[in-house]
Amino acid sequence: MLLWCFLGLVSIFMLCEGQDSECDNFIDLDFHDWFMGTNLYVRLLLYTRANLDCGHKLSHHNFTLEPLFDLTRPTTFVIHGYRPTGASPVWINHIVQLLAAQEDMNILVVDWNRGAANLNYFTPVTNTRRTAANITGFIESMEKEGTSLDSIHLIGVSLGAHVAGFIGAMLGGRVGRITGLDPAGPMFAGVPPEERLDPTDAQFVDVLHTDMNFFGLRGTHGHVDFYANGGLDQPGCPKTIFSGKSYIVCDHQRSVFLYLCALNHTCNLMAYPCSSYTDFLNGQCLQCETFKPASCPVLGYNMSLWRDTLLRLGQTRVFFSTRAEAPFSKTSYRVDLVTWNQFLRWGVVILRLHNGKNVIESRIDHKLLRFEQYTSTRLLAQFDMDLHPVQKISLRIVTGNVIGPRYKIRLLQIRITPLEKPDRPLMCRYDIILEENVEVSFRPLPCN
Amino acid sequence: MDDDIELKIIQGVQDNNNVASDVCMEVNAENGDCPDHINCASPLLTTSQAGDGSRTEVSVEAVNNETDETTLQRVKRELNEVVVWKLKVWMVILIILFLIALTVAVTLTVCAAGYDDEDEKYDRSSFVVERFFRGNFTLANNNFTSHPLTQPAESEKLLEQLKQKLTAVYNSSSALARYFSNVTISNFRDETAQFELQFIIPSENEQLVRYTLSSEMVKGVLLQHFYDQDSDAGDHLYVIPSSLSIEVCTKRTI
Repeated sequence: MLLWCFLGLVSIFMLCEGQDSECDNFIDLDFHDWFMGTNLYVRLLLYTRANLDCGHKLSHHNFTLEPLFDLTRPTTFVIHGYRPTGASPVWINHIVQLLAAQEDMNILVVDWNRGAANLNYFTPVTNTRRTAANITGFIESMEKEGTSLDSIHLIGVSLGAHVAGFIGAMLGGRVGRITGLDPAGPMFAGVPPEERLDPTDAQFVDVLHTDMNFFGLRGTHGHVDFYANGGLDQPGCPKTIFSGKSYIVCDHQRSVFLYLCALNHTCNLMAYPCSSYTDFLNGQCLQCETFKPASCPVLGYNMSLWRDTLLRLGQTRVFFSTRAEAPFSKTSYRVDLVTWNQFLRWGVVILRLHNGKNVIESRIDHKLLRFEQYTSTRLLAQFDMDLHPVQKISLRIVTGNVIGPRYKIRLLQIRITPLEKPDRPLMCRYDIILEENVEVSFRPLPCN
Repeated sequence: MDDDIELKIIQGVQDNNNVASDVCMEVNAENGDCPDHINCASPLLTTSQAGDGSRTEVSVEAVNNETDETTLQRVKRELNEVVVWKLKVWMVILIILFLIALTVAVTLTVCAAGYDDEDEKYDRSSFVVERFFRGNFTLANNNFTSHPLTQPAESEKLLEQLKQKLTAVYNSSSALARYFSNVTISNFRDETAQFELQFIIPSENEQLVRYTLSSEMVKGVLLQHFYDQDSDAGDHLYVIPSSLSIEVCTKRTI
């Protein structure tokens, strides 16, 4: 009996081993490799809907022998960046799963961990060109086999974004699309466009910035550049070095998590064309007429709604704010206030929305707002939660005055426009008197 | 250190847990004489060799007590000095503090009370131009006015109630009340009431007409009242909010 059990266990173990050996997944490197440095070795791991958990290593030359690699389907390359410790990226499996959910495609994970893992950052930087040349050769072979470059999408993270850019440039900008997730900044700041990712590298280049002041690259590098929270510091990321590794990588890594959230459709990250994040927060850039009948661009896989307009516009900078954790999207409203006070008043606005059960609050206090007679004061109110339908609205204008007479702010109208959900009604209210620092609540009515 | 401060010698302090007694101070004898060697018994205290080795250790606590007492007495004495008449220094200080507080309080009160809200001021006699709005709305529970000719008294009563209601709405509006003049409600047609609003505004009225007395604003004030009304099915004055329409008209029509 014991013998049978033993044999059974051994056979199960061997079966598992056998299954494992058929899968080629991302390889973790050990301490020796990243400490001593590694020579560049590029592996292409194929994932499709048929083998989501089990990568198939593609030969650079005999890839037609792989039955799962269907050249008639679109192909997306996922290219990682600098791997200081040689560990596999935590998001690799996640992005493969989510890309496969978008459409039936070949997902090729470019594993250049041997080449990207090195204590010395300059070595992986040098290797970006060689990796790009390697993949370019592969894509050229694909093209010879009949694949159209239009159907090729390169998604590059950090240094990988520049690898994608180089591939695109080597193919004469004929690749369908490049998505750069926080392209690496160190060694790429201030270099000419041909030495980094730029819009000429593909037919359409979209870039997401989350850490421009540290690992990311400042400036505009695509046809559309998404700046999350201004592209600098991300909410929820540690502010001090005492948090260790998280302090260093959090902002940079957020680009991948935002993209994953967008692919997952749990985040609706709509971004507004603007000249600066400050102007965006001040409510000066909430118009999306340029993209009509579409909305403003939404971060994600499907950019077809905005692609033509963005290509026509050349380079567009779009801004959005996020929450500190997933789901990252906020709910935004444009608020317009008109006062009939004879004299100018200043203050910050605290807006609360109620639906009978929950209350959400937005403090628009990053700068003092100006309330001038017969002049519309426009502001952007962003909430961490969505709440619908709104049954009651509370408004407070805080002026900071604690002594002296209590001034009144007399509103002719307040108009609250939901930004991400155009099907929801605009909310209005007329003839409101607000005593400074005192909250006033009212029921919204549909605007005329 | 003053010569007149009495230096007390700590004799054999044993209690190491007594923090106060642990604290010792070293004082060099000024006249060079070396009094009896004083041993501060605290083991926490490091013995340093000051000067030529002659030193005196003094309890700070003791000295402080002495100093505090002296200072306290001196302050008390000085506070009790008579400044003028029978007023002593402490009284003068209190009076000054009280006067400062009083001045602040009076200033604040005067400021707050004397604050004239410029937006509350207006001169009705300067309002000379008429502005009319015409509109209609439908009552939800208007059963008995379907045949106004059969029940003229009831109909008249309802018209009067509606007139009062609209007058109350515009008279309670902070932005519109000052310009509001009157409302006229005509007879019902198929349960829909026709009404006309009259406002009287200043001759310089370009901005006023564009913003405050715009049809959107005049309608909005009435509409939000209709939305806020209790949708009690029994209320015969209940107006269907979506039925309200208002537009500007140039002259009196009703």
